[in-house]
Amino acid sequence: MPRLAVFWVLHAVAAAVFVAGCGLRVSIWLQGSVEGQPAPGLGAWLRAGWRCLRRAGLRRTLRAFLRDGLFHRRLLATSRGRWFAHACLLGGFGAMFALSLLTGFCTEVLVGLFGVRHPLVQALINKDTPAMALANETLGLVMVVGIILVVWRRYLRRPAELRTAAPDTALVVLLAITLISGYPVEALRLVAEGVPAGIGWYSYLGYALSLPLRGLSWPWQALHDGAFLLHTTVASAFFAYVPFSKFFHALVSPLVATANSLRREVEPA
Amino acid sequence: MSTWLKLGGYTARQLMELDACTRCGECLAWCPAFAENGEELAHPLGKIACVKEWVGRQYGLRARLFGRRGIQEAEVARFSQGLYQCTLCARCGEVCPVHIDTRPLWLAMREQMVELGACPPALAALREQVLAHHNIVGDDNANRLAWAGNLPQGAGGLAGKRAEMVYFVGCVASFYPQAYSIPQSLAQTLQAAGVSFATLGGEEWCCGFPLIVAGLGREATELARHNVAAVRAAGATTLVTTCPSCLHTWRHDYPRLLGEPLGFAVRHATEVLGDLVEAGRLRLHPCAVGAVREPPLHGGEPPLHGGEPPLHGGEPPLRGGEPPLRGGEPPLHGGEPPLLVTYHDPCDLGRTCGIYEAPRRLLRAIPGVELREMKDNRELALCCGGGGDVEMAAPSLSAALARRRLAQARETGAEVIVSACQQCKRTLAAAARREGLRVRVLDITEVLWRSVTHDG
Repeated sequence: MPRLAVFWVLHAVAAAVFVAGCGLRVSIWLQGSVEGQPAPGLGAWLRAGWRCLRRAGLRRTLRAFLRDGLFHRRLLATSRGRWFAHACLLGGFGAMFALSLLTGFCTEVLVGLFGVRHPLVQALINKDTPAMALANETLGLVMVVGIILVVWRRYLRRPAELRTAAPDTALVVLLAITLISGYPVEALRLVAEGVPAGIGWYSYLGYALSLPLRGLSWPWQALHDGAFLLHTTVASAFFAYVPFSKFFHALVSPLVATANSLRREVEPA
Repeated sequence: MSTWLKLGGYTARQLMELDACTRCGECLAWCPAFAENGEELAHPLGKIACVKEWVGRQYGLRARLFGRRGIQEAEVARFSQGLYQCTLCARCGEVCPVHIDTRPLWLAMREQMVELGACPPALAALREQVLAHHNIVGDDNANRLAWAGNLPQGAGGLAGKRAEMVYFVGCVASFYPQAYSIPQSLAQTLQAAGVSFATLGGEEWCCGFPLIVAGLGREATELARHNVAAVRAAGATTLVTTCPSCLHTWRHDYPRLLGEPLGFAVRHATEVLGDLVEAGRLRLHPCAVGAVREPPLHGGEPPLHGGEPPLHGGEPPLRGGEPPLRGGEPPLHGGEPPLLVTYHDPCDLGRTCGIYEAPRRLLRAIPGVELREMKDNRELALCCGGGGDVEMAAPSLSAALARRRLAQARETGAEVIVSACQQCKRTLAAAARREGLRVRVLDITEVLWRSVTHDG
C-alpha cells in the first residue's frame, strides 16, 4: 500500500475514534441540566448556547474567546513561565495543525481532484519549499520546547501544588514521542531523496540529524517509509486518544473559559 | 455496597468544566482549606478528579465496553469529608486559568452528597433546626428583635409596618449577642439619616443560605417563598442586609428558586450607607478613636453575656450584646494619630456578589481612619474560615483559617480589623480571643455609627 494511503487510512480510523469519543463526552454533558431543564437534549443545549451568544454579542464573545479562551490572560498574570510553556504547546500545535490541514487540502483536493497547478499551491505541497520547511521545523521545535518545559516542571521541579497521575504521564509521553519521532523521519527523507544542502538546511534540525547518515549506503527509502509509518501511527493514536485523555481540555477549556468569562461580563456578580 | 452517581444535579456546563480542568494545580496554591489540612479531597483539583473518575466509571468508554462500576460507600464518605471542609470561598474560581466557576460546582457536589446520604450529621441537624424554628439556633423565632431591646426607642416600631426599605437582619445578628451591635448600629445610622425602614421581626425566617451551602438547597424554597411574601407585604422597594450571605441568597438564589424576579432591589448595607454619605444625609466626624482603639482585656471581642453559643443549638441569651452607641462620640482631637484599620473582604460580599469598593469608599469617607490593605485582598482575599458551614463540619479547621487571616491582618499593623459580615466578625473575633491578641474586630456598620454625628 502506498505510504500516503496508509497515512490516510490511519488518520481516517483515528478521526472516526476521535469523533466517537467526542460524541461520548458530549452525551455525558447532555445528562446535565440546561437552563433548569434536566437532560434536555442536544437541540436545547445548542439553542441555549445560541441565546447566550446573542445576549453577549459577537464582538464581546470573540474578545472573550481570544483573551480568555486562547490567550489565557489569567495564566499569564499568575506565571509567565507556565504561560510560555503552554503557549509553546498550544500555539505550536494549533499552527502546525492548521498548516497540515492546508497542505492536506492542497494535496488531496486542489491538486488531487482539480489538478490545480498554481505556484502557491505547488509551494504549499512541497516539503522543501523554504517557507514550508522552516515553518514545519520551527513549529515542531516550539512544541518540543513546550514539552521540555512541561517535563521539567512536572517531573524535575515538582512544585508542591502539582499532582501527577497516570493520565498526565500518558499525555506527556505520547505527545513527546509524536513530536520527536518527526525529526528522524525528516532526516531520513532528506537522505533518501538526496535533497541538496542548499535546500535541506531549511529543515535545520532534520538536516543536522541527516548529516552523519549521508555517507552511509543504507536502504534509506525503506527506512524512511518505516519511520514515517511509525510516526503516522503514533500521531494517529494520539489523535484518537484525545477525547479519552487529559488533552481533551484543549478543546473544552477555551469554550468554558469563554462562556464563564462572558457570563461574568454579562451578568456581573 | 456500591452506589450510583446521577448527573442530573449538575448543569451541562458543570460537566464540561470537569473536562476543562487541566490539572495545572493553580487552585491548590490558593486553597486555604488545603493549606491548612492537606486533605487531598478538600482541594479543588482533588474534588474534580474524584468526581470525574466516578463519572468515567459509570458513563465513560470503559463503562460502555465492559459495564458500569458503582461507587463504594467508603469512597463517598471520604469524599464527603473532604468536600465539607471547603469553605466555599471561591478563591479557586478566581485563579483558575480556564475560568471554572468553582463555587456552584462544589454546591452541586454537596447536593449530590445529600442525595447519596453522605451529608455530615451536623448539617442534617441544622436542616431540622431551620425547618422547625426558621432560624439556625433553634430559638423561638419571635425573639428575632432581641438586639433592639436596648435601643433608645426599643424594638417597638421596627416590625410589622409598611416601609420603603426592609432591613433583613439575618440569623447571626438576630441571635448571637456578639453580633447585636451590627443591627443596632445600622438601625441607628438609618434613623440618623432619616430613612424610613422596617424589619420583619418574627416574620423573618432564615434566608436558607446555610441549607443551600450544605447541599440542601431544595429545602430553602419554602423559606424563600415566605420571606419574599413578607417583604412584598411590607410594600418595600429595597431590601437591605448586613449579612453578605443573606445578600447573596436574596440576590442570586431566590430568583432562581422562585423562578421569578423579586420585584424589589436587594442591597448590602455598605451600598446603602455609601449612598447616604454621598448624598450628605450622614454627617461624619472623626471616628471615636478612643472608643474603637481601646482593646478588650483578653483580645478579641468578648461576648458581653456568657460565652459564644455554638452556631446551631444551644440557648443564646436573649439580651445583651454591645450597648447601643448613643451619645455624641468625642471628636478626634488634633494631634491624635489616625485609626489604622484593615478591611477583610467577606467571601460572599466580594467574590460572590462583586462588592469590593463600596466598603472601602465608606471607610475612606470617615475622617481619622486610615485604611491599610492586607496582603491578600479583594478578589484574592483569604477566607476567615466562617464560610461553607465548615464551622459546623470541621470547627478546628475553621479556627485555623481564622488564625491565618488574623496573621495577615496583624502584618498591616492595623488596630482594628473591619469586615462587613457578622459571621466574619464572629469568626475573627473568636480567633483573636483564643490567640489573646490585642486587636479589635468590628463590622463596618459599627465603625460608621461611631463616626456619625447624631443627637442624644
